[in-house]
Amino acid sequence: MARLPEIERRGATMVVVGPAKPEHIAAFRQVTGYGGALYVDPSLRTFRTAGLVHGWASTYHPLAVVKGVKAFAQGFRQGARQGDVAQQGGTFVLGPGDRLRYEWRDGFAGDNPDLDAVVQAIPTPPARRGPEA
Amino acid sequence: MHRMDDLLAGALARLTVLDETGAVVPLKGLWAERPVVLAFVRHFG
Repeated sequence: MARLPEIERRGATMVVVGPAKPEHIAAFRQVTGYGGALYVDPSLRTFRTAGLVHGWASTYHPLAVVKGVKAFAQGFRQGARQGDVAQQGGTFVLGPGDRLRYEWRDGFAGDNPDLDAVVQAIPTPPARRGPEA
Repeated sequence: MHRMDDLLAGALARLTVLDETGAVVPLKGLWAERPVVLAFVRHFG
């Protein structure tokens, strides 16, 4: 979320998709303060097509457990779970059009992409020639 | 000749998601004109 201004400055839109139901969207906004595009896919078809990991091994991966314990010690408390808890996430940079610029698939809970790499993958629009209108 | 990863972009573009009203939103329209950072998150709660 911290990189949102940078993402938008580069002319891209942030879109978040969760493995939950439409009625869970409002609570997610409240808890995270995220005000951007936010959708859900309760069928998980988009997650499967994107090749994202699904399974209990990824939720209870040793590194996920370590990260979870650290987060808990820092005061992070998970609320009631909304959505498929065995579904892992991922981050993609797409477009314009059918182009894939960056892909990251979480290997386990707490696994995160390099945000610099995500931002760098956003294509910059071609420079305009001549004076600005 | 299509690259494998652009085939994935095309495959995702053919799918749909739901907004908070339950309305169907085609993914295609989200990155047709502008790039997106598409973040699939784990369970919301």
